[in-house]
Amino acid sequence: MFKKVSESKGKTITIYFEGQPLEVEEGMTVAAAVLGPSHGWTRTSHGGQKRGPYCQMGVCHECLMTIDGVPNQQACLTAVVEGMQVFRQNGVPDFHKENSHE
Amino acid sequence: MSSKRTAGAVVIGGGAVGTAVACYLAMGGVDVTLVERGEFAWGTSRRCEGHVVTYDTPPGDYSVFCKTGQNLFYEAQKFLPVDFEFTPEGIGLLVDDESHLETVKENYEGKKKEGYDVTLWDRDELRHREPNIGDKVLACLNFNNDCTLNPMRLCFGLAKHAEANGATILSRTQVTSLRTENGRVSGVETDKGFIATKNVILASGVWTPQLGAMLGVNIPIRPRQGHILVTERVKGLLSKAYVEYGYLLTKHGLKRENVTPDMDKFGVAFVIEPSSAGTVLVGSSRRFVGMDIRPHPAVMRAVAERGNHFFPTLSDMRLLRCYAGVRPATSDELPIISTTHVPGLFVGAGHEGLGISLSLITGKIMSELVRGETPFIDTSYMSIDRFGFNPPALPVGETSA
Ligand SMILES: Cc1cc2nc3c(=O)[nH]c(=O)nc-3n(C[C@H](O)[C@H](O)[C@H](O)COP(=O)(O)OP(=O)(O)OC[C@H]3O[C@@H](n4cnc5c(N)ncnc54)[C@H](O)[C@@H]3O)c2cc1C
Ligand code: FES
Repeated sequence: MFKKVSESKGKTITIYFEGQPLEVEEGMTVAAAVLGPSHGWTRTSHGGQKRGPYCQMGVCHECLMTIDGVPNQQACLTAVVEGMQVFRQNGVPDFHKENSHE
Repeated sequence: MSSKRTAGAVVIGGGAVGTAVACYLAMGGVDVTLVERGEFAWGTSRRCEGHVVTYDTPPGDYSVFCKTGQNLFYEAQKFLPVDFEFTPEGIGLLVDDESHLETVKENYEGKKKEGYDVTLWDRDELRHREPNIGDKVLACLNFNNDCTLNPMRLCFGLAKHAEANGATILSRTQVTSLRTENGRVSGVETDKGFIATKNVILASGVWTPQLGAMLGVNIPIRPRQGHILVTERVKGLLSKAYVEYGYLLTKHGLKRENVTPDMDKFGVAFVIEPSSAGTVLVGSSRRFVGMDIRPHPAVMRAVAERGNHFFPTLSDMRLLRCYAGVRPATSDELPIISTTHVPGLFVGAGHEGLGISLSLITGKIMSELVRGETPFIDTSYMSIDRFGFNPPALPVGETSA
């Protein structure tokens, strides 16, 4: 579904999308990295519809994913890091007191 | 739209008030046309919070009026064709100041005697119910019949129901002038053509004065700005809507202790409402700055700081956006629900911060006034006459066709 515009010359690293290893180019955003394997959808809305990265610049909040255990992260603003665990986000995440960073 | 139309009554304005007026008129058998220059909820009704409340009116006629108005939502929920996210979970009044505690307790006893369903949570009970509440909050007075809803969906539902009952709905249609013949209303000129009618209801929020002026009726309504912040989507931050007790002081323009100069200057008082989509609305402010509806960073900051005081966890959350709206304010905080001295011209506007809460009851009363009936509840103190700016309004029955 998605094609890269140019071939990379950079270093590759491994991240995990839904538990599956993914070879990606260092320095890319999580949104760009998972566009292919995610078939374009990276979360569901509270009504259950599939949503995916849209603006790619931090404005629309359509690209929210759970990254290294933290929900509601904007995948388009987050750079990939070796060993990163990236999950699709289903619906609205829970935000109980335990989750807060106090 | 064809160039010539006729209607039994024309309602100008598709906000909560206008759509409610059109809905009750249509249900009352009047051939009504609703004219809105934008889409439904184009004005203040899409820039507000959507609480249907009784917590802020001291005992008396107006308090009973608000309560009666609130009951209509429990009925409307059954017949409106749109799910307007009606949430009758009650609203809590949060107290963070020792010195308010006594007044709040008296209020509790008083409201209970008046038959209100209220409960008082002490500090422990509140913490148990809302684990994310700030340490400085001392108590919460719950108004268990107060409710929240989605104002845009309410407007759509009312417009749809009006249509189903025979109303004509004209969106994207702007009223450019009002006409009279032999001193009584004869029609409405719009950018899409003329509508001949003997009854016009101005339900145009902050724009009502401009429309009144077209027929020489002086309608004293001023825009009072308010800000709302919208957070990212989360579950479990809070279980229902809350308002700080200080909101009542801000609303009535009274001095408050323990707030920053900016909060004082911008009239910031904490209001919070979880939406059904997961975002949380945090408000609000109150100031007179004309028709300005741009969100201002300094006001946003003051609102956010106040929010953190009551729910410190908010500081961990991202804001998605902010919007501001202008409340249609009168000088005595009462709406104008009235006939005028011009036969066939009615005013239903100026509800300030209660336009959603009082939309249905305004619609019901307006439908009665237009049909020449005496309103089912006393509204004489909401007459435009109280300002003394116009010749006396016509008695009920004499304005209708
Ligand atoms: C921040 C904030 C929070 C609020 N919170 C609450 C709350 O919790 N509960 C509550 O009850 N109220 C609340 N309010 C108040 C409430 O929003 C208003 O009282 C209410 O929306 C007013 O409704 P309305 O129908 O009178 O006016 P509006 O919604 O402004 O509707 C007037 C309509 O008239 C149309 N119009 C104007 N001129 C013309 C013309 N020439 N031709 C055709 N159409 C025209 C406009 O486009 C507009 O759609 C809040 C307000 C603000 C700003
Ligand atoms: S894609 Fe729009 S915010 Fe990330």
